[in-house]
Amino acid sequence: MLVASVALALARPDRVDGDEDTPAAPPGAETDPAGGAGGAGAASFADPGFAYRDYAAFLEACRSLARGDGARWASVQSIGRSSLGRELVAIVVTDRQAKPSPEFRPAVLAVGNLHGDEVVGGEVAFALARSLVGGATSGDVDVRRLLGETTFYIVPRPNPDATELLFGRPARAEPLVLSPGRDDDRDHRRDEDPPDDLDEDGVVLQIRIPGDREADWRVETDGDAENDRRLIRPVDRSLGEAGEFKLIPEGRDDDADRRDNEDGEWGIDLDRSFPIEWRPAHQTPHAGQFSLQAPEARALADFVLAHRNVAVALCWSAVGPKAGVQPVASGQIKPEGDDAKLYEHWKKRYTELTEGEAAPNPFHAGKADDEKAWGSFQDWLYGGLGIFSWSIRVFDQPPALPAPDEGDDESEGGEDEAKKKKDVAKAPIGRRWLAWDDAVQGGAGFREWSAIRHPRYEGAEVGGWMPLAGRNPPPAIGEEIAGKQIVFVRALADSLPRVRIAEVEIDPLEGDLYRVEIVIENAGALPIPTEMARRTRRGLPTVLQAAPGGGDRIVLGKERHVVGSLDAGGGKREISFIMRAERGGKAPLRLLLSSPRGGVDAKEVWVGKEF
Amino acid sequence: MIARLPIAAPFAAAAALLGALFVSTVDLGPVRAQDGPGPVPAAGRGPLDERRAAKPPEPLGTTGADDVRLPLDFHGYYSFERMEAALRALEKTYPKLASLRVMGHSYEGRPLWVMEISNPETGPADGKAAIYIDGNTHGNEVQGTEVCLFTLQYLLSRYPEDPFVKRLVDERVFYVAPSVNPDGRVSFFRDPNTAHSSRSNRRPYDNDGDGLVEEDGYEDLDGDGEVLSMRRRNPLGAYRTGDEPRIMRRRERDEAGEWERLGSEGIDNDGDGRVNEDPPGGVDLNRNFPSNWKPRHIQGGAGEYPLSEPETRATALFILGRPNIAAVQSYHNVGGMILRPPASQGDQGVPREDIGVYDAMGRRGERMLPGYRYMQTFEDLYRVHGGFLEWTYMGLGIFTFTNELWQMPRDYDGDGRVDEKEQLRWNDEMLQGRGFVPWKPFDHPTLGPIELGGWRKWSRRIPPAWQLEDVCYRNCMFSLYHADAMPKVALGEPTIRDVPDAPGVRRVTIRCRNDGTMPTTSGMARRIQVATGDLVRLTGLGVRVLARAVARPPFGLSNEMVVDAPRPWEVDVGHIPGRSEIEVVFLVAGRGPFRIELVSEKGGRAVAQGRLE
Repeated sequence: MLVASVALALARPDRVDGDEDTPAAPPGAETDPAGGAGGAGAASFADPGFAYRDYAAFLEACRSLARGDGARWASVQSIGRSSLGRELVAIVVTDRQAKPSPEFRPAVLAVGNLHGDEVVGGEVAFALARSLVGGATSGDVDVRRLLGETTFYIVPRPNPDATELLFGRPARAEPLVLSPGRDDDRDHRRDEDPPDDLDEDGVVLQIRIPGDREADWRVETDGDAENDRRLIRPVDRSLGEAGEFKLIPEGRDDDADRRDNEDGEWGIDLDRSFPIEWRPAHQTPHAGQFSLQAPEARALADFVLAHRNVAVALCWSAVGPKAGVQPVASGQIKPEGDDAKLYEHWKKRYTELTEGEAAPNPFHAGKADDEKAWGSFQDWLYGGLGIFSWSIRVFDQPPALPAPDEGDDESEGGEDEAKKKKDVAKAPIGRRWLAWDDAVQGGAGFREWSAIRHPRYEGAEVGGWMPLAGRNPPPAIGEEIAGKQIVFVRALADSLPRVRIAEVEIDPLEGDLYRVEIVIENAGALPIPTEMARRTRRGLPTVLQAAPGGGDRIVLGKERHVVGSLDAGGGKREISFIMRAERGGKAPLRLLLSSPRGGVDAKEVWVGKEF
Repeated sequence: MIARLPIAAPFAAAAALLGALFVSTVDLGPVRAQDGPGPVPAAGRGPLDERRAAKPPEPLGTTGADDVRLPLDFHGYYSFERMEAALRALEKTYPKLASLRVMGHSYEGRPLWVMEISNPETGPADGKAAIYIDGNTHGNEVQGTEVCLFTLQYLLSRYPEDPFVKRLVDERVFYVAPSVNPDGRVSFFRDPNTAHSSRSNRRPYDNDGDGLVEEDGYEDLDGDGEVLSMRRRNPLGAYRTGDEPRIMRRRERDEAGEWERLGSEGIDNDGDGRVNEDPPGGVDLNRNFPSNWKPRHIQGGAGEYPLSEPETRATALFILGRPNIAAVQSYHNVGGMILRPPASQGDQGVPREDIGVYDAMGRRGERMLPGYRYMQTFEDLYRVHGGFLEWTYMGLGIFTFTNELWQMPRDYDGDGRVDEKEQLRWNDEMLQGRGFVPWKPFDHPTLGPIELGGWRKWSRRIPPAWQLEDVCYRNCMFSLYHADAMPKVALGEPTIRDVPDAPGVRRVTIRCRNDGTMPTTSGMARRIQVATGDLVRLTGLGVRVLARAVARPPFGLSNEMVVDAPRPWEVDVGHIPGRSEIEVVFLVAGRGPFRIELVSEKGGRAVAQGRLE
């Protein structure tokens, strides 16, 4: 078991991961939520904190939430198994003692770390669970109220096999789901040419080969020859640029086919696996042979489909070329009408609530068809299920560098310093990252290029961004990053659609006959359902059931009323019927209002009593 | 392994649960959402037995025998249980060639049987080209099962005396799955159905979007085993009796009505004003495959996601696990068609070389199956998203046909179509009227006096027994022709020549042939990058390979020669087109025997021997 801070991982690359475990519990079984609950019924909740954990430590951290007095608020479920047999875990956070039961409360789905190397995304999802359980166990009334009427489904590590490579030796950054046994290069051999840790330094990085015939990368100085020369980029042949380096993953050509590291145990991109606007592998790399082919993808999809109360979903990821919140990924599915307004509104709220996080920026913007994110998780949630969904990059912009001392600002040297800082702030993102890494992490995130003996290439150099630290922020600033997201999630959770039986009016007609008029409303700030759900016929019906008791019965009208949409912010519908009720009220008329994504409400009224 | 999610969660269960939860505040009592209005007991959600017909109707002219003996007869239809018995009997009688396996299980847990026919004495199955044949994807399209059984029996019983059958069984592999929707088949035989219902699998689905599942299915009200049509006299109705008195025609706007159509036989169980709008089942298995799959609001019956159903998943994984499958044939009904992909689009992006193969085979099919038309599914029929043939061809690059078996004869007036009047005439003359139940008065439990009448479920889409054998024989012949068209690699004799001025170095030339009509990988497989190239290998203990090159006759070497190739003894030759050959040249040194091997994923294997003196 290992809890690694970034610094630790870098300082001691020789550590051995001894816990390559695959738990024995069958899929579907509830993972022992208590661990030691037997004797620790009254134990108080201990926050495991923000950290990058290997799989064993991650499982233990999940279970710790549901231990002691956390057991009322959290439970840990298995939702399936990964390609290599690791249990996939969901944490359900809600008040298990309240009524109605959790599956009848509107729910938030929170997922992170779809790409194995973006472990910060999963840590943010896990931080949400920690914060809710922490709040509830410490008696925070707001959190307790929220958990009494809301369910949180949290899947922090949907791609554990790939994530585990960050903590292995050698450590490697692998975004894809591992699926051994594929013949990636179609040469009748499987997994015969994976990357290797050639210099045996415990990390698999990149190798650049200066002066190679196939050189198609060059040093990136961002137009200023003074800049340092660590960054490289692909050449633009259309501008007549010559290549300086060939770039390959660290490793040798194991199968002697003159291609380097082209057939390893990787396979499928989880975030290109979902069935809405999915494109096959020849159009979208690593999409697999069919959507949801990876067991990880299917487990996640089945989990979502089995929880029809999910009204809002969030998915956190890390690195990427552009900042921000993505309402949609492929650009094929667009929020329209009221949904478009809703997304605009919440994008503004996002910036407010997170105190100025990057402006919203859809992933597909300005991208060619073959670069768009076809088959993303988020497009499926929104475009396929009509769930109000968000995909958020929490760490693709370097945090601001420490501000220069104000006193120094007046001096000449200070101006230089300030100008330098300003230049960095304007520099392309790679350079800003590098500057930030140098200043804050002491260069731990980037390995300087250095010579390496390569069996095939002379003059090869190994280096580049480190597997963990190059893609994920140091745990020290993790809580701050997660904290902003939790504020946003709490605001969304407070806005979930909620159905209410607002009014019941009873008018006597004649004899024992009464006219009953019921007003139902959506007391939440999100609609029932979204416009997309309506368009895709996923706006599962809101139903009012009226059950007269005793000898009473409805003589005109229906007992079961299927209600259409209910607008956000108090949208109402009226339902009326004529019923015969015994005078004096022998039995109540029971009303049950139920909406899959808007919760339930129940009331009983004594129709004949007051007359 | 197979997910059994209640994809449309029954609201009634939820409400009942809620009732229990609210027990402290509100006791809802028994939930009554499922009860229909009036005195008729709910049928929609009762146990299956309640909805069974008083007596299941006999297929027209079936033998009805319960015992299954070889040779199988094709004068009647096989219930799922009889089909299983037939498969077991075939396996037992021909154990050397036939092995029965289970691909997976249906939603209700029935086995998805597949019979493998191959001859292990001529090499392992995965080294030979294979054809996958299935039937009955739609539960009501029953006769595909009989075509499959017929094909199995034809191959097994005629081996080895029939030279054509012997060659096919020795050189190829047949995977035959007679019913890939057993639940649909069982329900079609057993339950009240029209000719068109029981098409999908049995996954419950809320067809009408009211939060309830399967709450308004068909009822056989008069207990005759049929779900007929309902009508009643109504001067405001939209129909009048036509010139064929059994057929109604729409009235003119200024004409008085005579009949009101009331839909298929049944009651409005859920009291929503519609009849039989949410019958059992929900996922159309032929809309649940991965290529160009679209969700339900675009493609009805699509299911939650591609391969969400145990039936489609099992089929797909079976095929994916056998990359030597080079041909796929699926048997549906009805209309007399030989359909080829794509089904979701026109031919844009479909390689011309593949269309050439399809056209040649389709034209032959039209000759073999009189009255059948060879069609491009999307252009000549309709658009299908997520169809099986779309996936096996557009997603896997396998040559695929779907045959729509049989159509009701006959076009008496020669206007190019068979209208209902002609069908009735044929029914009267050739079936002695057995296919159509004349309108008869009936006292409907909620509607009062009405009439019942119309086509029986076994009549319009399924051939009468005396035509079944003809349907089976002709389509079996088409399947065997399809199997024979698969790629088949062969090697010529290696020729060995000296290389001038290079003592000790010899040039070995080998001809690599494909005797099949299909190329070793389809143009589509290459286009979508799922093709694995054919490998040619030269090995020998005393033999060292210096270099190799590929030549496409009749002219010279290609420019693919790699002089310092890291693995000179092996060459990926790409594909070999149908009925053509290529040459591979090796430069070798040393002496002794050598072996040349040609390995093709979908074209089998071939070996040649030689000796360097």
